[in-house]
Amino acid sequence: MSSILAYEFMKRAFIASVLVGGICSLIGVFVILRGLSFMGAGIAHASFAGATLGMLLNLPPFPFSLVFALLGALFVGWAEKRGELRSDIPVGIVFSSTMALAILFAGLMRRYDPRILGYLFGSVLSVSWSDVIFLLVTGFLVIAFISLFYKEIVFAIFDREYADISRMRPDLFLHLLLIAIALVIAGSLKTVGVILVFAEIVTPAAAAYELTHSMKALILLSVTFGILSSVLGLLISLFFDIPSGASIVLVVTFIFFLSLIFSPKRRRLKEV
Amino acid sequence: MGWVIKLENVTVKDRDKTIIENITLEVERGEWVGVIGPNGAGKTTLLKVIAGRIIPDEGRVEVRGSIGYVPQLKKIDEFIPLRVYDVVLMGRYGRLGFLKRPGKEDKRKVLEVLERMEMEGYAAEPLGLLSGGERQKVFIARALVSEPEILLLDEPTTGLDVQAQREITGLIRKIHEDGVTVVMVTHDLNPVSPYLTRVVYMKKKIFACGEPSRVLSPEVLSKLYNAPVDVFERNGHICVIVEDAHYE
Repeated sequence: MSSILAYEFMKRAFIASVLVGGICSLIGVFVILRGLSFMGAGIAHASFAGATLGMLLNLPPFPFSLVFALLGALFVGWAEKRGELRSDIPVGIVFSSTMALAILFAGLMRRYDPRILGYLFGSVLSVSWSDVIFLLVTGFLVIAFISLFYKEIVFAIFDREYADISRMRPDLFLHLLLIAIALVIAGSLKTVGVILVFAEIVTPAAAAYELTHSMKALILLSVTFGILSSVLGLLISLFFDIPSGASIVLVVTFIFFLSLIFSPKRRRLKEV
Repeated sequence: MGWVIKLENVTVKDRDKTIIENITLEVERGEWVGVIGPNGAGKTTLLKVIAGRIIPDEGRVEVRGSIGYVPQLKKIDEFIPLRVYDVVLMGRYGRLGFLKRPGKEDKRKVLEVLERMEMEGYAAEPLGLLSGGERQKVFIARALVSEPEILLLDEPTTGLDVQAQREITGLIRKIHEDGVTVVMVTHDLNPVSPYLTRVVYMKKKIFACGEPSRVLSPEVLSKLYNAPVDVFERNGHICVIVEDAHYE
């Protein structure tokens, strides 16, 4: 382990993996509780379209991917609040239209940009210190938002109507939650890629959901699974020379199946 | 006594569709008002207007006093990571406001209400594993911890078995006796009719309003439900039977 960490790029890769695993699995708890699992995929694709636009314009892809992720999240929130569309419809529209945009932007490039593949599948070994710093800032903001407004967020998620009657501004907090999700996805994209960031958000939380009836234990377990799978996945990828994103997601999927098998909730339901 | 809820010519529309129209109603302190009507009559909308969840397109709403709200019982995920205590504590959040965390007083209040409702043993139980009647009691407890002067209930006994219906009715009766003004939407007046001070019949507009014994007549109810209605008295209870009616 110490010999691996002797390389600067490996240090960055480990720090980035742990940060992505932790932040994604933390926000993932609220994503699954709010029933937004599919939305993560929609925002990731929007973010990818932004990144390809940045590459097309020969500008840094990250600010574009962040703006596109935020616009995608806010569109879904707006459409859902207006109540004219079920939330899966705007997510589906964001998902497909932004993917079309990404393909269009990539097609308009004079030369193929290899970073496209990096954004699609993730390239943890190419993460820079500025990417790590952005992940740290994102992590700090997300943790601060959840710690400060934990009661407001949980109230809005579980009973939007009652929270509204109690003057707790549920729509504001649900929109802030969408912004936090977009921030996490845009920040994690380079490390794990469009396709796998969705799994990093949903799977640890889904595994933890099987194991507890307590919100606090759910958060703790989800973050533990997220970080554990990132470290284990990265180590496995190094030892067996396989893609890191895939190995991280397969480890967390394995944890999910273990949770499913040993779920006390399902056992209790059978007994009832 | 004085009014605690006052609605003047309240109209609510959803785009071109009128949900409730020109409702004028005053509820006095200490009353227990039952609101009945067929599907789509605007009963839930009326409660939401009083609770401040829906702003009317026309008219004025005034409320004197804090409100506790018990929504219609919905199906919930059995795995939901919430225990009874957590749900009841949510009733304190509105009083706490933003950023403040629940303190000792809030926790004491939750346990006190659960004890009063003989549910202290349920505090650590997962919400998703409770029966419909138990869950309804939890939501009533959540409304009560906010120490409301007015309690709004949306069909609190719908979908419950007879035993649970009796328990919930008994509970609301106790709350009313403690001085809380109650406005309750229901489609089954039979269990509560002896305790109601007033009944409001509505179908977008208020059709009839008054003491149950005066207003509960087969003529008024038949018109309301578009079906033959039989009304009779047994052991002091007024019983309403709607034939071939479409219930909510």
